Amino acid sequence: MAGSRSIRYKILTLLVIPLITLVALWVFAAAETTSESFDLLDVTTRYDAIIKPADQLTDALQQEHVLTAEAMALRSESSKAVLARQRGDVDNARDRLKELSSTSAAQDALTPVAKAKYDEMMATLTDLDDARADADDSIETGLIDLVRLNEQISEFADAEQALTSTLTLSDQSLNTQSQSLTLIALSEDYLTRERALAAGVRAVNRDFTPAELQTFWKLATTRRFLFDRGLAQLDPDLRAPFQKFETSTPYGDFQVYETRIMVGQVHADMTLKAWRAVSDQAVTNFRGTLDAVNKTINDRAAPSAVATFLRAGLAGLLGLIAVALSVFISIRTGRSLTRDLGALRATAQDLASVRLPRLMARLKQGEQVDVAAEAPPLQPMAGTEEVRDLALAFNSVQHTAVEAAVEQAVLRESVGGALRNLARRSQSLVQRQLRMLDEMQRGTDDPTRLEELFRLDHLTTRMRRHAEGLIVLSGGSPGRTWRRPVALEDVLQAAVAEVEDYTRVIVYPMPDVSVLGTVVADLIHLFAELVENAAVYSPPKTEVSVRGEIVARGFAVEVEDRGLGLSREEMERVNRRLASPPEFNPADTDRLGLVVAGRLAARHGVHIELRRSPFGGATAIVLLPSALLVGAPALEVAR
Amino acid sequence: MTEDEEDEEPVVRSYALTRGRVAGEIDLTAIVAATGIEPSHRVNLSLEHRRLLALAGVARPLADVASDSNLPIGVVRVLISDLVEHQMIEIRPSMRGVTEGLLREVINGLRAL
Repeated sequence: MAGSRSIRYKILTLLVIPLITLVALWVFAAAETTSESFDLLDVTTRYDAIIKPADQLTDALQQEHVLTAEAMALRSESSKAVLARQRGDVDNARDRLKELSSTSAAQDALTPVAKAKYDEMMATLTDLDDARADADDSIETGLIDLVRLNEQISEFADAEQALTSTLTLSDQSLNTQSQSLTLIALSEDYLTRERALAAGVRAVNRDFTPAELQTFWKLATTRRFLFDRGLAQLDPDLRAPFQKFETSTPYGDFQVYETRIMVGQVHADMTLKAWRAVSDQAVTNFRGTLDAVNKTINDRAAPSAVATFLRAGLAGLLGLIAVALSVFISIRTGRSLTRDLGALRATAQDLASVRLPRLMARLKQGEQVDVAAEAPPLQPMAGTEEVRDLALAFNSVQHTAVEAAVEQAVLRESVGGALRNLARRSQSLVQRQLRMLDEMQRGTDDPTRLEELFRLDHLTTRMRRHAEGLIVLSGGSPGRTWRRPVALEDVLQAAVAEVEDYTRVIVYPMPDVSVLGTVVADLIHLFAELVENAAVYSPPKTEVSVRGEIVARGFAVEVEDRGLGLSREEMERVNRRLASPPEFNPADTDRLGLVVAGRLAARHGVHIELRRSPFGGATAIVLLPSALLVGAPALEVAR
Repeated sequence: MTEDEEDEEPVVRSYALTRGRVAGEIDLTAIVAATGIEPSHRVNLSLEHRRLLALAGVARPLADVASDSNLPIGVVRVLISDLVEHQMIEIRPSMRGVTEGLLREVINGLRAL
C-alpha cells in the first residue's frame, strides 16, 4: 500500500506523545516544587543584600536623627563634631546599601512590586542630603523645626517598612510572624523619633510648642498602636520576649516620661541627659529584643527551608523514576509488539512467496506430498493475544490452501487418469484397425480398392494421432516403441502421414541419421503437430517443406510453411508456450497441438523455436539432442 | 530380415509412401533392373525409393523386390513406376517366352568362344 507507514512507526507515535506529555508534566511539577526552594534562596539574598544593610542604615539614621536634633538645639561645636562623625557613619551605611543592593542577584530576587518599593526607598536617600542642608541652615540660623526634621529623616524608615511589607514568604505562618515583626520594628523606629524630638526640645530646657507636642502625640500613639498590633499577631513563643520587654523597668521609665510629655508635665528634672538615658536604654533593649526574636524566626525558617528542599528533591526524583519507568515499559512493550508482528509477517511472507508456491509446484509434478511436513503450522508466538490469533488464523488458511492444492492435484490426476484410460482404449482399437488395413492392402491387387484402403488408412492414422495427443495431454506416453533405431527420414515421413493435408508436405533428402526406437512414437507425434500447424496456417496448394541437417549439438529439422506468418507478439507467445508448456487446461484449446509438441519436447530435451521464414511464413526449428540419435557418422566428419 | 522386424508395424504408412497414388499394371514376373543413371538434382527421391533402387541393383523379378522390401505390392508398383519415370530403373519383359532350343544355341555359342 502506497504511503502507509510501518507499524513500528505507528507504535512509536502512539508512545511518544504520552511520554512527551508525561515528561512535560514532570518538568512542570518539579519546577513548581523547586520554585519554593528558589523562593527561599531569594529570601536569603534579599536579606543579605537589602534588608540587613537597610536596617543598619536605619540604625545609623536614628542616631543621626537624635544628634541632629541636639545640634540644632545646642548649636555647639562639640555637638556639631559628633553629628559630623555620625553623618560619616550614615554615609558609609548608605554606600554599603547601594553597593550590595545594586547587584543583579539582589535585583533578580525582587518581585516587580517589591522593585518599585525598593526604588522609592532608594529615592529617599537623595532627600537625605536636602534634609541635612536644611539642618545645617537651621544650626546656623537657630531657627529650629524639629517636626520637619522628623518628617525628613523618617522618610527612609517608612520606605523601608513599605518595602519589607511587600516581601512575603511562601510559608504562611512564618510570613505572618515576619510581617508582625516588621510592625514592631517600625514601632521601635517611632520610639527613636520620639527620642529625637524630645531631645531637641529638652536640650535647651524649653517647653514643647503645640506643633511639636501634636507630633509627639502622633508618634507616641502610633508607636503603641504598631507595637500592640504587631504583638497581637505573634505566637506565644515570639511574643514572650516582647512582653518581658514591655514589663521591664527601662521601658516602664520611658513610658512614664512619654506620658508626662504628652500631658504637659515637663519639669526641670527632665533634662536632656535624663531623657537620653531613659530613651537610649529603651531603644537598646527594644533593639536587642527585636534582634533576638528575628534570630528565633530565622532559626525556625531553617528547618522549613530544609524540608522544602527535601520535598522538592524527593518530588523531582520520584517523578524522574516514574518517567524513566514509563519510558522503559513503553519501549519494552512497543518492541515486543513490533517483534511479534515482524516475526509473523516474515513467516507469512515466507509462506506466501516460498513455501506454498514450492508446494504447489511439487504437487503439479505429481509428487506425493505430506501436508503436515510441507506446511508446518506457524509457531504460535507467546506474545500478544491478537498476534497469536492471527498466527492461528494463518495456520488454518495455510492448511486450507494446501489441502485445496492437494485435492486439486488429486482431481487433476484422476481426470487425467480417466482421459488417459479412454484414450488408450481408443488407441488400441485404432491400432488393431490399422493392422487389419495393412493386411488388406497387402492382399489386394486392385488399384481402385487399394486407393480406397489408402483413404481409410489415412483417416484411421489421424484418429490414432488424436488419441495419442489426448494421452500426452493427460500426462501419459503413446507407448508405441520400436526395438531398433529408425531412420529419421522415416520418422518425418510418418509424421507427415498423420497430417490431413499430407500431400502438400515434402520431406527433402537428408543425412542418414537414426533415432532410438524408444523415442520414435513421441518424435512422430511431435513433428506431426508442427507439420499440422504449418499446413493449417498456410494457404492450400502451397508447399510445406521439411529439411534436416546435422549440427554441432545434434540434428536440426526445419518445418517451413509459406503462410502469412505470425506477428512478433504472437511468435513470442507461441515460443513461450513451446518452451514451458502450461498445465493442461480444458478451457484453453488454442493451438493445443503446440502444447502437446511442447510437452513431448520437454520430455526428451528437444528444443523447438518458431521463427519467421524468408518466404514470410513461419519456420519451426527443432533441435534433436545427440542423446536421441544413433549412428551419426557425419557428425564426426562435420567436426 | 528377421521375424521380429516383420512383426513390427511399419513406421511409415503405405499411403504416405505413395502419397496416396495407385499405379497401373506391372507384371509380377517382369524383371526390374537399375539403369545406373544418376537422378537429376531436382528429383526428390524418398528413402523408400532409394531402398527399392538398391534392391533392384541386380536385375530380378518385381515379385522378389516386393517381397524383400516388405511392402505391399501396390506400393512397390507405384514407387517402381516413379523410378522408371526418372529412367533410373528399366523393366524388361519376363523370360516366359524363351525356348529350350534358343538356350541350347546360346550355350553352344558360349562354349565355342
